[in-house]
Amino acid sequence: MGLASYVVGRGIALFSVFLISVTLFFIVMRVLPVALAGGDPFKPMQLQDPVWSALRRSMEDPRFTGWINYTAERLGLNLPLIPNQLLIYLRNIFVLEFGYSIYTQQPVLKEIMIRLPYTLALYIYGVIVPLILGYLTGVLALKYRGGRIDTFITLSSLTSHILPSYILLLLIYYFLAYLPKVTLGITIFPLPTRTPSLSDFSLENIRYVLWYVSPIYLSMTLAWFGGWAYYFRQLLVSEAEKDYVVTARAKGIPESKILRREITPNVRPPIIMSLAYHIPGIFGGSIILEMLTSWPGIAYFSYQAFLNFDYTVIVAFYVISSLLLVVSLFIADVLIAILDPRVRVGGGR
Amino acid sequence: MSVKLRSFVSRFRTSSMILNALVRDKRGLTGLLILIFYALLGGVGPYFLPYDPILSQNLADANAMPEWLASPDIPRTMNISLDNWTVTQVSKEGDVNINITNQGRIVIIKIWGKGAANISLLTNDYLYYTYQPARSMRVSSVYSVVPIDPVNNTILNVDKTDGWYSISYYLYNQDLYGKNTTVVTGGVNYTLPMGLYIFYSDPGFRMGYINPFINEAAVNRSVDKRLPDYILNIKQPTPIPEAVNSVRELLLAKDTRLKAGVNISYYCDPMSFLMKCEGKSGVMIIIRRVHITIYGLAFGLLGTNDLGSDVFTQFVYGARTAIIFGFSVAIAIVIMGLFVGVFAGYNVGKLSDYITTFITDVIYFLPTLPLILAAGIVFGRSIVVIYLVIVLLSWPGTARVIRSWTMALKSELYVEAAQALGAGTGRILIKHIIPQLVPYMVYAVVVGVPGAVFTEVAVQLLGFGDPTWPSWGRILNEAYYRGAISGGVWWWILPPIFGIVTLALGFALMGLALDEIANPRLRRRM
Repeated sequence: MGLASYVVGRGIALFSVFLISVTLFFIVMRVLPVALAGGDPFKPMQLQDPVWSALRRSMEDPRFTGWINYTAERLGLNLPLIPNQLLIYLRNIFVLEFGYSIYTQQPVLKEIMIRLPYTLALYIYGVIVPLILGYLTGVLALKYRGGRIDTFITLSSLTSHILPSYILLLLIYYFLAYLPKVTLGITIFPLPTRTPSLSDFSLENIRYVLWYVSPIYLSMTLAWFGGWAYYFRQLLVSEAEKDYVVTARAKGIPESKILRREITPNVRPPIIMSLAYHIPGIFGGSIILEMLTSWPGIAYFSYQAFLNFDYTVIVAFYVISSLLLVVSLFIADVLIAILDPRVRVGGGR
Repeated sequence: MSVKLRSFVSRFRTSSMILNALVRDKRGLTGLLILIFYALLGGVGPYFLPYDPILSQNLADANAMPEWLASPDIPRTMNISLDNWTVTQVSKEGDVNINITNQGRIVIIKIWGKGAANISLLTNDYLYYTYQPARSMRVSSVYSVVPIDPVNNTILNVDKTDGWYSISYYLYNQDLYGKNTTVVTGGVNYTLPMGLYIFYSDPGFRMGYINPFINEAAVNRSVDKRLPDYILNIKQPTPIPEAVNSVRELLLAKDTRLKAGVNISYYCDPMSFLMKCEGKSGVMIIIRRVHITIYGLAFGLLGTNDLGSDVFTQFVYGARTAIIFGFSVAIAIVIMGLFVGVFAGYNVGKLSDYITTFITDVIYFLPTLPLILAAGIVFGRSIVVIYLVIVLLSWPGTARVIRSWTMALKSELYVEAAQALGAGTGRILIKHIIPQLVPYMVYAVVVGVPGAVFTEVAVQLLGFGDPTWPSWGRILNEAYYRGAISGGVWWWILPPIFGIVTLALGFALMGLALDEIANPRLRRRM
């Protein structure tokens, strides 16, 4: 009972986060420019509307006039921004109907669904692998506490914590892709010159995709494991001094079993809590990596959309980003609630 | 905890405590020194640098390497004005009068009459070239053509009965002229004559054709060429294949002398139906000095980028941007966090606290980057927009911590005592709560600066940064997208990375040193 009500409560809270986030985006993109430029968002056909002005730019070409009227009608541009267009916008989001891309003339959802696996490949890797690696390093540091390995781990994890992933990616491209190829003639990593194809499932192409993504994975791992390692080390060290661990040691339980049976269950909830708060950063980081490497995920696609002012795609990108974030947070919340009974009883954070 | 905290707080005075922690701790001192270094570099450096980071271009060749790395043979940028003309050849045919006034720097040549003439000038000055051949150069000059009445020696208006003239400028390498070189392009050997290159030729104009719509007396024409020019290559007396770099292969060699020359020809044939030349009016041609810039392949402390801008200048300006932007963002975030956090923490348990906390949570989970991009396309790519979006989206983290601190401080005995003595909310906040938060606020500023710098770099890397502001992110963006990696131009792409990383490292070290003051609960356990 406690669990269910907690989950429902968090679900409602996160859903309202999503709702506000999406509404805010509409206000920033559409209402604020109109209001700041002296228009009235409550009246139809405001020329300051960025979507209108983007469409009007192509109106100079007489071939497009019919198309523009058609598009404007389809997007509902001839209605007042508030409330009509806002309501249409929200309704479309809830039925996941993003319309057609103005640029490619394909259904946005189709375009995004093609690219979603590629984004998820980066995002899920970025969430899971650094976490596991950080945990293992933290355990290693705990084992050799105060020794040389511990110092090394602390230093490297701090360095890794400082460096952002995209800076590391540039360094990898320079020192591990360009330099070995030019000076020694060895090809280790690829430079992002030819983006892998989306639809080819041959073995060769899959190998190329993996090779192409390897610098991205490496930079993610190197950049994000450090924060976790440092955090885990502090957490495990402070936990290892608690009385129950001392008792377990006194009973003669081997160290590995103490770690597995006694310490790990106690540090799980703070780990997942902190994961929940790291998720926005991981998401932003994987977006930048996608755009830098022309990795054909939704971020790169929508980066093109931003450059072309492809409004429907921009909206879909924002909505899906928010959705990914909110869903990840919800999963983290539910996991915490399952693992740590105190959270349910205490009623939130 | 509360006892510990109180005793801790009473032991220190805030301001000296922060400074002490920074200076006593080895890490803090290192971080502080890095900060001071970049603050001095960015604050003072721009006043000593002669170049503008964005507008000063073509200071050297594209991607010129750092000067301290280059051997003495690698070409440096050379600037020279060649004047002191001598007339090397005058030849005429028919009834042509030539009057040359050689003033050294300026040569005034008057030609009139019916017939043909050819005059060659060469500079006495020369550029003594002491390096390996450079890749490119720029030559510029200005000359004037004036229609004159030779009898009364007055300036005339342009008419259509004057003679035709043609002017060509050339570069002449005294020590290479007459030699041949073999160049291989595309698997074909070409034997080409060295030492002479025509970089400008005014193709047989008549005065009235220069500007038929404006009846101007004098026409100033400017010559400005960046060599090698592959279209000029094929117009040479001996055509040079397009792919040959004429400057490197034909014009420059170590320890040779480079001069500039002008060739003027005049033609007036009254019998020609096409020309209708009457030979009454003449042409006065004024030749001025020729300016030569040879673009070096080594320049400055950190070389140049693909446009020949000084990377070191950009680096220094980038340091200034990073410090100013980082601090202003971090301070604004902390101030907003303070207001919201203290408000929520002091009203803990009330409805206003719930609402504030909810808003904080919502903003914390907004996707920052897409919003920055959206604001960028809607409001323009300006640093102010980026600043506002970062500040408005990043304060919740600080606000959350300050809220929990305020909650803890509110239940302290001395706050209760102050309340019991009848102190107002404002007095309690200002006298008892906020002073206790100062160490954390300083810590939050120090920790927040690298984040702000990184966000700016990320936005710049995506191409949504302010195009008018020099910053490390902008250098990175240009370097990454204009082929610094595939061209091996490490002096272009590595300095901004170095700057970003060391600055972040400095702030992280300072953060570590301040950590124990700001978060007494998290004292280091070994």
